[in-house]
Amino acid sequence: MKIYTYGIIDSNISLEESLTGLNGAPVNNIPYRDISMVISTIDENNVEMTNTHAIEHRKVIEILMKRFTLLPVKFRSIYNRDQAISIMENFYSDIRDNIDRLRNKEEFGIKVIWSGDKIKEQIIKDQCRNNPVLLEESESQGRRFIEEVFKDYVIDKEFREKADICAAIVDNFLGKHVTEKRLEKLKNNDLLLNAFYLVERGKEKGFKEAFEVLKLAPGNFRYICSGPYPPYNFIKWSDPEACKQSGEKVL
Amino acid sequence: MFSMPEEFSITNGMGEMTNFSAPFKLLSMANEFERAGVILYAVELYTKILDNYPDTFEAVASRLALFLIASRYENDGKKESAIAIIRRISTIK
Repeated sequence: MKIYTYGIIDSNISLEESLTGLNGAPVNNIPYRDISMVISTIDENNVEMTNTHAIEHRKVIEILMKRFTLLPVKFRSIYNRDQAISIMENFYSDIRDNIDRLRNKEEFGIKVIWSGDKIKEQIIKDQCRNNPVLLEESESQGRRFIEEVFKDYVIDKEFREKADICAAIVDNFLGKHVTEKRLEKLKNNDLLLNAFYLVERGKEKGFKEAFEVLKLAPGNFRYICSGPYPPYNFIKWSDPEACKQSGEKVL
Repeated sequence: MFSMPEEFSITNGMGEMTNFSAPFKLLSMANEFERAGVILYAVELYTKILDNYPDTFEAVASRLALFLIASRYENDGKKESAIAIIRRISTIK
């Protein structure tokens, strides 16, 4: 029989609430030592996932994270019972460490959007004005090629440096309210910063207030905040390769 | 790997290639001071950018940084410092 998994919690006691998960199946948990994996049964002949399933998954996660320290699993994680126990057994130490580290903490996502194309245009204009030697027409194709490569390199470097500074300004402000962070800069030209922040429960109010202040700040930036979520982006493995081979799509 | 023709290399004392403008260098320094917690120097440099390079991207970033510094001052109870910075941002156009 297949089971659908939602996450691992820091309790081995049977779930009290009558919680329903995917397709209305009752949610319960498989205990192992002092942790358990939260699951529901699933029809192995009908495992196609839909948007409705994603919403149902999300609802279960939201309820669990209010009561427990939850290490969430990826959407569509389907196993049999033995595999679920094997995962908890093989990675118990890492799971325990993560639970202890992430207890009473929630994840927030912050996106900062800027007009990357306009910034680049301005850089190109400034480069033309300040470094005209870069644009001299050359006779040989090879030399022209090198000129272009170098010009692109300089423009890209300055673009990235500006992005770094702007991201640092925002992060410096929000970072005072968080315990851990993960920053991704320039995933594309317009997404200046995609940040994940781990905030202690009880301090999320300060973080949200800081975000509201940020939204009022001058400048052509747009800010998006999402969360709270369970700490999807802060789970660490002592041996990520072993986790990939065995735990694979779990956490 | 090919080496760059000499006329294309513009190096600073560290031997690093850079074509960065003055406002960008100021912005970079201001940000370093801010990250190091030397806020007064950071505020001075950000303000200098607003004074001398008002129509640049660096001025936009400086205004953002100063606004956030002012907010922190206000949270820390340093209302006069916060007001002074906000006034400065508002008067420089």
